[in-house]
Amino acid sequence: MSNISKVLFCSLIAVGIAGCDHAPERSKYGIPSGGTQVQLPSTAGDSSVQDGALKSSAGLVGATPLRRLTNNDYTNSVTDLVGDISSLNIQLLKESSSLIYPFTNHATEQYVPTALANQYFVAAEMIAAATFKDKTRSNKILTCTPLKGTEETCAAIVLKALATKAFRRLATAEQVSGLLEIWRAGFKAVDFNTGVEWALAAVLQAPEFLYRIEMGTAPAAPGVVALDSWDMANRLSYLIWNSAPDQMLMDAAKNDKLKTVADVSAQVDRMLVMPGAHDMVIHFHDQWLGLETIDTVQKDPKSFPNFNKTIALAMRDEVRNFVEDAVWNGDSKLQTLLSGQYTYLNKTLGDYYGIKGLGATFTKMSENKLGGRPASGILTMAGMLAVRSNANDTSPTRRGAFVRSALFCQTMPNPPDNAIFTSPVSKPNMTRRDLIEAHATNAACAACHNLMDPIGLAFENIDAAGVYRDKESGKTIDASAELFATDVDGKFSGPSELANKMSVSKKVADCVATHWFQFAYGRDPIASDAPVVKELGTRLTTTGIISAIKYLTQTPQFFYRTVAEGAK
Amino acid sequence: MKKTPLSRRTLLRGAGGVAIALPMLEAMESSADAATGGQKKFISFFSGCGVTGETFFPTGTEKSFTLPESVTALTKYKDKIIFFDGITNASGNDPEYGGHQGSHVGMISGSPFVFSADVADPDHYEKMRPTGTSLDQKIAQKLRSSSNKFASLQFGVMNRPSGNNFDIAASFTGEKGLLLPEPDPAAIFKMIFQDGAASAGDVATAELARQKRKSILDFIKSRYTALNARLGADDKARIDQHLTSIREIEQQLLASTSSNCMIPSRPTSGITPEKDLDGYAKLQFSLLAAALACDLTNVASLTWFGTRGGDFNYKNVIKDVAITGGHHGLSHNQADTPQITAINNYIAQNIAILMASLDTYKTSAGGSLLDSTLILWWNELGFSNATHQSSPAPFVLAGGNGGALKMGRFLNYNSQKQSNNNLLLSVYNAVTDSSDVTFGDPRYCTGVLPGFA
Repeated sequence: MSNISKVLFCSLIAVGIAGCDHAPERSKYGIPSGGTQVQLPSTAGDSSVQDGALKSSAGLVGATPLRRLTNNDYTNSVTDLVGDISSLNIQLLKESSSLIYPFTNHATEQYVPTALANQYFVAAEMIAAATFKDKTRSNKILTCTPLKGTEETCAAIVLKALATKAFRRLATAEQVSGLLEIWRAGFKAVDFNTGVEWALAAVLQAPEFLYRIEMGTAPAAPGVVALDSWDMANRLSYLIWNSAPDQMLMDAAKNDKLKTVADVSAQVDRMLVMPGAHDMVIHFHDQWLGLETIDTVQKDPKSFPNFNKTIALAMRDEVRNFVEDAVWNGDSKLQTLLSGQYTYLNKTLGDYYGIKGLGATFTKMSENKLGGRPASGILTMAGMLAVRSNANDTSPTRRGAFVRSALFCQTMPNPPDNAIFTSPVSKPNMTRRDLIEAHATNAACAACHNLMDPIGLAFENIDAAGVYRDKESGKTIDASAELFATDVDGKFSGPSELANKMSVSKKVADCVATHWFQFAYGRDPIASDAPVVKELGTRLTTTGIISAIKYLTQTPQFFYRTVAEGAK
Repeated sequence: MKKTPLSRRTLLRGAGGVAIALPMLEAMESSADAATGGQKKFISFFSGCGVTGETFFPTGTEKSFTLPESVTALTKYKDKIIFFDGITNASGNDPEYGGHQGSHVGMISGSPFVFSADVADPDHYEKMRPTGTSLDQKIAQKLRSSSNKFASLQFGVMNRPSGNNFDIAASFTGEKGLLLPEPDPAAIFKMIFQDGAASAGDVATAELARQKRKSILDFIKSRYTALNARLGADDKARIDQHLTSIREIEQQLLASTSSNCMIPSRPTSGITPEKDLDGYAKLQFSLLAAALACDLTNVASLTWFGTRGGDFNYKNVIKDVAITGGHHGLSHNQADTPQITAINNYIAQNIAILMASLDTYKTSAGGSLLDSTLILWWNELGFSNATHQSSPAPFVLAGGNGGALKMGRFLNYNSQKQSNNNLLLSVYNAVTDSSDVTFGDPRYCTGVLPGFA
């Protein structure tokens, strides 16, 4: 039984049954969960998500590119298959993402250069070898005991089960016979287990493992087919858990019980209360907020002697704890994520911020206990702002660019060809605001910088290393700022007023909806996806983030796929 | 460094006790002279941050010319070198960005750079990406033989890939295909000489690893081929590339190693360019020469130093001129001409060392690996101080083209200027025995250099 199904088993049966005590509260990030207090929305009575309504919109489904497992999906899927692999230190090429597409799952960007093919090869050999060095692991794969003379019959049973689990749908005869050929080579050269080990190394590099190949069933509209239940099991598990289907999903697929809104909805409700769903929400926010590389952020040790990697990682955990709470335990609304007047701190971060009396574990802290430090949801998170600063000074430009791209989905143009990239010379008593005003006074710079700098200046009370300050160069910080070219234009001061504006902005709701669309479907929305993005935005700001995630599994885009010309 | 011609047994184990792929016997017989006989080799040697044109370009005629101060260290090999003048960096000479960045990729690919829309970093230079394919990669596509484990290899000296990677890339295939140099000799050694079956050193284990890999690769190739048959064009392009990558690693994993090579001893860790640049560079050169001699590849590039980051200071290795700053910093200052001259002569001295390293691999016919290896030394700044522009482009050819190119010349095109594309085309045709008519962006190419071949 996989970790995930084990947890499920335990959550269905009363806590305290032998074997359930060790079920992990959280499987991956180590952020304690308060459980799921958010009311899961019911689909009953929602006419927009009935089977007939979905089918009649099937023709609107945009291109459906073949998706490869992200590095995160890969690690999770391998872990589900053979157990924890963190000690193997598997290296895979860093994936591309951008400010306006902050996720690593953009299907049409997922190329496999030689270096990555090589890494997949090395990883597969290492994983297979490690699996067969450990009897408790290999026994899970060796589902029958070979007897002299009938080894091949047994191998076929083992490989069919292995391929079905790894390929996440019933293995075909062709797949099994190909794997048997590998097994035969290893069996002849060494022994039975060696044959299976070699086959496992091949399974882990097969397209059926590395890609999410969808078969589809009957045509639903010209060039559009409904997905089969195996396809749906995979879509559900990779969306909600960023990992492979568990046994219950596989069983549902085998019984062809994943083709109606009602069947899918029941699975989603089951899946959302499991640790993998919490991990997925954290993974979304890590990428959206650009926190995945926070451990590589360096600050000028002269200006910020207390900043180090431990602090950086604690800052990431601050965001993760806050997100966990805001998404799962409160009203789950986007507004709370943007403006919640609290955060989570532990002793490490408290000491760093100058807030006393904290213990080793992260605790919820309301804004009035933070010694003047503002708390406005993700917007005031030290980690978020430290990532978007220079080594020795804040960067209102990068902070503003983040707000534009991550929250308004606006693309910032490149600097013009004649831009000068040397910083203006700082004189004593100058503030960051004084320095950056050079942009505003130069017409060539101002055109674009006016879109970023005046927003970024709202965050000046948090310095480049994430610490609260009320003065800079002896002057009181001026956090006055202004928004242009949005649906909530106007002057404001500080992050909380920015949050208030964004909380009523349709553009912000649409933008965060767009990011969830990207994260869920591995592509950018196109014109025909607009109704889905709009509904997602509405849900994010009314029934909440979990409700929006559930809606992602109830769209024509989720039940149908286009078949490209020439494809079979 | 200890070098011993290898017996079959030692070869199998490698100098560090590591196994090398089988089968060997056939390889030993069939490619006995592959590395040092007729097989042509190519090295792209990139040193960024500028030369001082006044002390770099020779004076005189094609056959009788004088080497100026920046290249006197090459005097010993004067008859194995072609110097050029009057080559414009037509496709790399960006009017806005002058000499640094961008111009280096234009110079070696014949196609200008672009600003990538995909890079989130606000640093303008970080967004620059090549549009074309670098000369070494073009040559590698043509020159790779079935006995090569690698299509090409990228070496580095003073450049760890961090921060801005673009400015150290001497090899690339288009906007998304930067091939970064590996500056760590230990990592290079591990990559090129140490087979994956490192834990066991005997023949049986190496053969077993080969069998295993072959059966795995056969299976996954057939699965990707089967998948490909049912995909639309866009998905197919990506799966095609994945399949190509698998075939590439198949060559690496299953290729055997030539018998005619001498594997250097495993580099000791701890050596750095800052502490001992002479020793560090020599180590990389010896690994490069061995990789060519062992027929692991026919093409390599080496980035001595990039165009911008790092700013290496040569004060520990250059003693006759006082070095007051890093190479990049100096290249911006008119008064620092003597220092730039000294730095380039130091690099020239190292090219002579690389040539000597190649020359140690003798052929049975009395020649050496140097005679069949053409080195192109290039630098993106022709006049680092005065105008900070990249024309005339400093290109130098050294070594030999297996006897097919007359060396020991000075080709001065100042009266009839020629583009870098024309030079790239000429070198490409010479090394690959091709008769192409254009190279890179055809706007900048009018044909081969007059009087070159």
